[in-house]
Amino acid sequence: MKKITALLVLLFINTLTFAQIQKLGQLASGKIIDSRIIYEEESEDVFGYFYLYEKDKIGRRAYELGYVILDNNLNVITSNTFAQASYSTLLIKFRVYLSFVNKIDNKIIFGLHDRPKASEVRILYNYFNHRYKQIDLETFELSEDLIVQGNKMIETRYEFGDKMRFRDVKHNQSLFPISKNRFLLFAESKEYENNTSMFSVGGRYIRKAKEGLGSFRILDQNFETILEKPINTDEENEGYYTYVASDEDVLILNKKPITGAIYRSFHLMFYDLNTGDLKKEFNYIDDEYKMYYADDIKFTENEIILYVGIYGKEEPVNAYRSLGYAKYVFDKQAGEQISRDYFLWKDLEPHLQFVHEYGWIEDYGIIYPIEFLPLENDNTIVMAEGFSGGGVESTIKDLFVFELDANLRVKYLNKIEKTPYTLKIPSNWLFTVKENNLHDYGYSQKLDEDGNYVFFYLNNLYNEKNISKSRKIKNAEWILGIISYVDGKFTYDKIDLNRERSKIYPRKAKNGYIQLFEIEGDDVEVRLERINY
Amino acid sequence: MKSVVSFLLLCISISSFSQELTLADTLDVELKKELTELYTSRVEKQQAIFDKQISNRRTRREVQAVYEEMSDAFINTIEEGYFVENEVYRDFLDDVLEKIQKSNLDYPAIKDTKILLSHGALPNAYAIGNDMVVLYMALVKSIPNEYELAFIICHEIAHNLLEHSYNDIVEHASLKTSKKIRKKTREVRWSRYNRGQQALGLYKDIVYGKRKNNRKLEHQADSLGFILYENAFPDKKYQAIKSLQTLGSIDVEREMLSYSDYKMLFDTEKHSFKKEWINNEELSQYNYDTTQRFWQVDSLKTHPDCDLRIASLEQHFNTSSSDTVIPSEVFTVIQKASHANQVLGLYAIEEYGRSLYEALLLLKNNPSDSLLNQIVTQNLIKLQKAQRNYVLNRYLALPSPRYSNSYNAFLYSFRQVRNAQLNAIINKYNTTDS
Repeated sequence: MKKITALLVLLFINTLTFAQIQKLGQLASGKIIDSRIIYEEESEDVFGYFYLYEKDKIGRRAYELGYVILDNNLNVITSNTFAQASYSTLLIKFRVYLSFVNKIDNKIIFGLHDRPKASEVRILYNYFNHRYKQIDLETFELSEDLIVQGNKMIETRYEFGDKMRFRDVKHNQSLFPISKNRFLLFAESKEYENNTSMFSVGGRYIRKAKEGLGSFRILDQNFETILEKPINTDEENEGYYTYVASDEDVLILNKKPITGAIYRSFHLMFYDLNTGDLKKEFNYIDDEYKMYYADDIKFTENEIILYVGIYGKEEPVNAYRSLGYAKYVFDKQAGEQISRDYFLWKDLEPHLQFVHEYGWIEDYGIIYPIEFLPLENDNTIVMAEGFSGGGVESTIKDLFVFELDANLRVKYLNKIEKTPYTLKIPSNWLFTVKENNLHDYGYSQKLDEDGNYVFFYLNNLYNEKNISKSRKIKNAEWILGIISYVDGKFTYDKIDLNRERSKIYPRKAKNGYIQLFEIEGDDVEVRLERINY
Repeated sequence: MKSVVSFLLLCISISSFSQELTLADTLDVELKKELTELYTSRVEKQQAIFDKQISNRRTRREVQAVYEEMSDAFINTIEEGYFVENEVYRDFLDDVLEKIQKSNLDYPAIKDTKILLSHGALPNAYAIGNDMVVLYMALVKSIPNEYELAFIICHEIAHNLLEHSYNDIVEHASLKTSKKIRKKTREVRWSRYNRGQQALGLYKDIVYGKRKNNRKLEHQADSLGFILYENAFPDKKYQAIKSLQTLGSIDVEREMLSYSDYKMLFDTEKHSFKKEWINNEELSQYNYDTTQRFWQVDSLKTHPDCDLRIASLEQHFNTSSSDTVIPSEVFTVIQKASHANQVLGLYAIEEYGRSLYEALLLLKNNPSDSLLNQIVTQNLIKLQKAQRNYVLNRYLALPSPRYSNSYNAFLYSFRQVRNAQLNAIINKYNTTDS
C-alpha cells in the first residue's frame, strides 16, 4: 500500500498491478486534502470519518472533488465525487477546506470554504465562498451546493465552464453547527455590504466589519430560521461576537468589546436557545478577582460549569500572574450563579512548593491547566503542563495530573516527566499555546459509560539541543502517553511511536480506542486499538 | 516461532474429537527445504521455456521479472510455514491423484502434479502453475465427501494443464509493454485536465478485460476438469455439480456462538460474561452504500457465479445422475481432523483471532477436549500480549458488514473484556489444561 492516500487508491485499484498499469492506477487515484472526525449527535463519541480528496482537475478553474466516509470501525460507508469551481487570482492561489462535517439524523452535512494556500497572505476574506452539501445516509444522494446569502439558504449548481466571480461569493455567510442539529448564523455585516475589494484595508476595518453584525439566527436542520436575536443595538456596548459553546438549552457567545486594550476581557453571553433571551452576561469580574476568558465550559443536565483563570484586580492578565482558577456553576434555566469555588496555587501544597502566590515553582516555572474535566461525583480532573519562559520563548515541560474534589481541594496529584521543548512564543502569550493546541497534552475521552476516562499526550524523547529543525524532526522519538482513569484510579501506559522501521501516527477514535497509522516506507497499516484497562 | 514449535509439539496426542491424527511439523526444516528445491527446479524449467518461447525482448524481460517476483513470494510462503505435510492426508491425496492420472493418460503431465495442503482461513484452492495445486485446510473441512474434493482437484489440475497461470503472466507483460498502452499512459500523464478520468477509464477497461478473461478461464478449467473427473470417477459425475453447489454456499456460516455458549466458555468465578458484550449494535446503526459508482462488481469477479458454472457444465456434459455418496472412512477421518488442524494452522500463521473463534466453535460441543482447550489458552495469551502492545488489530479483525453476525459478535465481545477479566479467563483455561 502507498501512503495514507492508499485508502483512496484502493477504491480504484483492487487488482494486481504491473508498473505501467500501476502508473495508470496512480493517475486515477486522488489526493487527500482534508479530513474530519464525524461525531455522534449530542455526543463526543465517534460516528465515523470523512475524507475529502481532489480527484481530478477538470478545467482551468474547476476540480472534481470526492469524499469517502468510514464508519467507526473503518469500514467504507459511502463515497462519491462532485465538481467544484475554484477561484484564483494572478498572485494568490486558493484551495478548498472543510469547515465542518456533522451528522444530523440520517444526513451528513459538510461545509466547504476557500482560503489562500499560503498562510502568510492576510486578506479580508481569508475564509470565503462558504457552501454546504448534504449526503442522505439512506439513499446516499448528494445535494447540490447550498449557500447562505441574505440569511437565506439557496441551492446552486456548478456547471462545467461556469466562472466563479468573487462578487458572486463574497456575501456567502457561514454557518456554525451547534447542538441538537441546529446552526448559528450571524447576519451580514453592514460593512461587508459596502466593501467591494477583497484585499485587506487594515485591521481596524476587519474589526469594524465583524462588529457591524446586527443579529444572529438559529436555524434548524432544514435551515429554517427558528430564532432571531438582534445584537449590537446599542452603540456604546458594541462588540464582535464569536461562538463558544452550546447544548440543547443554552448558547454561549463571546463578545469582545470594540474599544479598550488588548487584554480587556471578553464577556460571556448566555442565551436561552428556545426563546433567544439573554440569561446572563458574565463579564469576568467578581468581587475578589478578575478573569480573562473561559478555559473550559461543560454542561450537565441543569447546569453550566465554567472554569476560568483568576487574577488580582489590579494585576495584568498574564499566565505568569495567575492566582489559580475559579469554578463557576450556573443554573441553566435561570442563568443564576449557583456556586463559585476557587482553586489557588497554594492549595496544591504540600504536593508542590511555590515561591509565591502566582504559582511559580523555583527553578521550574508555572503550571498551566489545559483541560478541566468535571466528573459525575462533582470532582474535577485537571490536566496541566509545566511552563517556563522569558522573552520570546516558552518551554513546555512536564504533565501534571490532578483530581480535585467538589470543593476544588486536591485529592490526587501526579507529575509525569516529559522532555521539555521550546516554542517561539512570547512567554506571556501562553493563551496562544492552548488556543492553537501547541501543547503536548492531547484530549480526554470516555472509555465507557461507567464514568471511566482516558487521556492522551505526546512526548518527544529526543532531547538534543542546538540542532536544526529538520534534524529534530528526523530524529524525533515520539511516544503516546495514555492515562486511564478507571474506577477512581489512575493508571499510566505508553506506546512507542517510533519503531525500528516504521513510524506511528495516532488519531482520535471511538470511545475506548485509539487509531494508529503505522507507516513503513510506502506501506501504511491502519489499526484501531482498544485502550488497555 | 520457537514458542509455536513447542506449542505444536505439545499437541502431538490428539483427543477423541479429532481421532488419532498427528499434525506434522510445518516447521520441519527438511520439509521446507525439499519443497523449496522442488519448486525452484520447476521454476527454472519454466523460466527456460519463457526464454525460448517469447521473442519480444521487452516482454520477455517483463515476464521474467514478474515470474521471479511471484516465485519469491511463493517461496516466502513456504518459509513462513503455511504448508503442512501429514502421512494420512498425503496417502489420501496421492490416492486421488493416482486415480485421476491413470484415468487420463492423454495428459501425462498430471503425474508431475504435487498437491500441497495449506493453512488459511478461506475455504479455497488454487493452481500456481509448475504442476502445483494448493488446497486450504478450511476447504477440506467444508467439503462433504472425497468426490467433491476430487472435482476441485481436477479443476485446479486443468488450470495447470491449460497453462493459465503462465499465459496470464505473458498477457499482462505484453499489455504492459505494448506500445498502445504506453502511448496512452503518456498521453494521460501529459494531459492538462481530466487526467484522473482518462486514467480511470483506461484502467477500468484493462481490469474489466482481465476479469472477463479470468471468468472465461474458469469455465475452461471447469470443462477440462470435468473431463478429467468423469474419466476417473465415471459413476460419480453428479458430485461435480454437487461440488459447485457446495462452493456456492461455502461462505455461509453454519455454526455460531450464542450467549449461553459464551457463558459456558468465559464465565469465571469472579467475572460473569455480560450479555451486552455480544449485543453489538455498532454495525446495525450504519447503512452501507452498495451503489456501484466506480466499479461494476459483477465485472470485477474473477469467477463466474457457481450457478452459471453449474449451468454451463449441465449444458455441455451429461451430468445427470442419481448417485448418492457415503464418504469413505478415510475421508471422514481427514475431514473431521481438518477442523482441529485448521485451528492449529491458523495459530501457526498467527491468525490468533480466527483461530480462537474456530476453536471456540468446536469447544462448545466438546468442552473437555484437551487439545481445543490448549489452543484456546494459547490464542488468548497471544491476543492478550498483542493488546498490551497495541497491535491487537493485527491479529483480531474489527467488526465489518462482510462478516457474519456471530463472528462480529465475537470480534466485538473480545474487546469489551477488561484486563482483569481476560486474566481470569486465561487462568481458567490454564487450570483446565493442567
